[in-house]
Amino acid sequence: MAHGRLRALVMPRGRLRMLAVPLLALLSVMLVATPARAHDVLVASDPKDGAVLGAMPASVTLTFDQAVRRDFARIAVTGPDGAHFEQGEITVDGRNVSIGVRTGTPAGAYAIGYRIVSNDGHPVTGAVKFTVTGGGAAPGAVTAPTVTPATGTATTGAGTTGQGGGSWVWGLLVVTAALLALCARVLVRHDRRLRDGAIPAPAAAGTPRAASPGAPDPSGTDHSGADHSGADHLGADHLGAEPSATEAPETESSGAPASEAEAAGTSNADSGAEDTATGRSTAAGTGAGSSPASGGAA
Amino acid sequence: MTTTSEPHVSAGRSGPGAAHARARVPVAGLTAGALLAVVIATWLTLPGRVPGLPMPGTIVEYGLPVVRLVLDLAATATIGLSLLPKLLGFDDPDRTEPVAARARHWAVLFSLVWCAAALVSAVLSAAELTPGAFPDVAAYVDGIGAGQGMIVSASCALASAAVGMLAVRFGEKVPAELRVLVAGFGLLPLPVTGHASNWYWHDLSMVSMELHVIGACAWVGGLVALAVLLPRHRDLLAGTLPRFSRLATYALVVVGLSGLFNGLVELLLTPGESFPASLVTTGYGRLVVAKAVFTAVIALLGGNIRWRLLPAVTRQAPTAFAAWAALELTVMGLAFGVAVTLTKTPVA
Repeated sequence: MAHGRLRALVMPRGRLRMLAVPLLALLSVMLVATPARAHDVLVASDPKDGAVLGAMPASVTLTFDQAVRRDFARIAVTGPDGAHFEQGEITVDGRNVSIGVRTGTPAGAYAIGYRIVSNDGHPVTGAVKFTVTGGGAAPGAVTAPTVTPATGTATTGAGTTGQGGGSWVWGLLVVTAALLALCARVLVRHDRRLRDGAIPAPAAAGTPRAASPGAPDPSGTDHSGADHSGADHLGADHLGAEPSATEAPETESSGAPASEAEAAGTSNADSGAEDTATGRSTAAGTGAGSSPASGGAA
Repeated sequence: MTTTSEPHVSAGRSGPGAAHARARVPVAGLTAGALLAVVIATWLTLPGRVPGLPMPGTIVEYGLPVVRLVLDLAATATIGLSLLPKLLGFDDPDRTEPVAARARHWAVLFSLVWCAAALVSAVLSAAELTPGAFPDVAAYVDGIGAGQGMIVSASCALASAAVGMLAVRFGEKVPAELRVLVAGFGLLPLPVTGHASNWYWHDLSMVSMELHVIGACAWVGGLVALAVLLPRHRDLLAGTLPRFSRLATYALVVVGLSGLFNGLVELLLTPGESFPASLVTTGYGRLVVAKAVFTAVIALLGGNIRWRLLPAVTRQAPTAFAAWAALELTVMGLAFGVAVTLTKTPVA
């Protein structure tokens, strides 16, 4: 093993370099940080949300709190029956986005649906609703019912959806919280018992398995044979010249069901050395620490 | 490729089956918690239908957060596994080397997962912008900073995998700091892909966001590495856990403060919402509250490990460290899931 050399290489400079990491990170933050990107928010519209108009305006305009990107911006004006009434190209002038509307629109409820891409690259969507009264006869136009300029239609809409049909989500949340609390409680009790020395932790996990050893000897040998080849494969593939102590424990996890591995251990304990492969893998397993499992089996 | 190396360093210790299962519990807890949180949070904050415009399909709406979650978790695991040698120390290579070897092996694997997730995420993000049409990835990456961020992150992940391969081949002669640094660079573009806050305190919140991401990755990643690779090596854990505990304390402070700062700035600076109320009235505010609660729970669980278990661990006495760590990781997973949704959710 070349670790002695390795330690000499790495140790003394460790501290210094540990410091260098956050410093460099901060430095690069300054480089990466880019000018203002933020989520655009609709702050005003013409017509306003909820407005009642005598006649359809020639164009509709949406005003955001920041300049809007021209690319990816889409606006649709839909009428009572879902037909589209927008016309021409979208024009973007700083914070204002507007689009023309066809003439000769029927009376009814209209909606302006929009999707723009805000400066941070996120789509911002929403809708502004207004009503056109029949034939443009109604003179007493705008009666906007309690509308603040900023109609955060996107999220408020989602919020109400969440409130409305979301009872199962809350149920799920409560169940999750309860499960977590239960886990915490069980763990606290387990800790207490550990401290009192009522149960040595590993044995508690090991005992039920040791009680049902199940598998006979032949499967044990079979399995360890498979293990062995697995070890070779691993060693060749990944770890280069690592010591075998590294690989052997990993081999047991190569899809081997727990009971088989256990059986290998038991048979080994019962009848001494089966063959070299079994001996090797079990020894390696135990080598990493004292083994309550095989201890329980013996 | 082997999926084998994961569970057993000392299979003999507690019965192979139990060891097998226990090594997977922390990972399963983290992933399950994260998936649960991300799906629920995404569903809660799903934008409403836009009349007259095509909406992204379900695959995009749920797939993007999930892929982003995979990206975050893989990056976290990479960072944690690269950090592990530093936590293990270099005093006793004979004993630490088996564990370090497995950490190197898995770090490469997770770098590759990270890279793949970043690329898929770029495609899905492009698809999200142009629903109803074939995703124009080139235009997305070309025109939008988030796309470039994803590509840079993917490249860093690839570089990290390359350095990791060298480390697998040459062992700890490839310094752990280099691996952490390369992987850490891959983290830096990620905050750019979220809405890196508003215009006033932009630079400050940007730095704070970077610290948040780096701190969270080192913290969660370190705990994952410890919980999966070390619980059955009481001798190694006795030396490593105190070091990690110190790191975790710093990380808790950094992550908590920067997270609060960013969340509140975002809430405060969004027009049209009044602040304290927006904590409960907006989806974003609710997610910020949820994350703060998770952080508090994590702090409690971390404190439990530090003050109740650590003395026993340093004595090399039997403890339920693995199980406690798994529980903490599960809550961390929940916080990660919420975090992914937070990066996408508009405030107002």
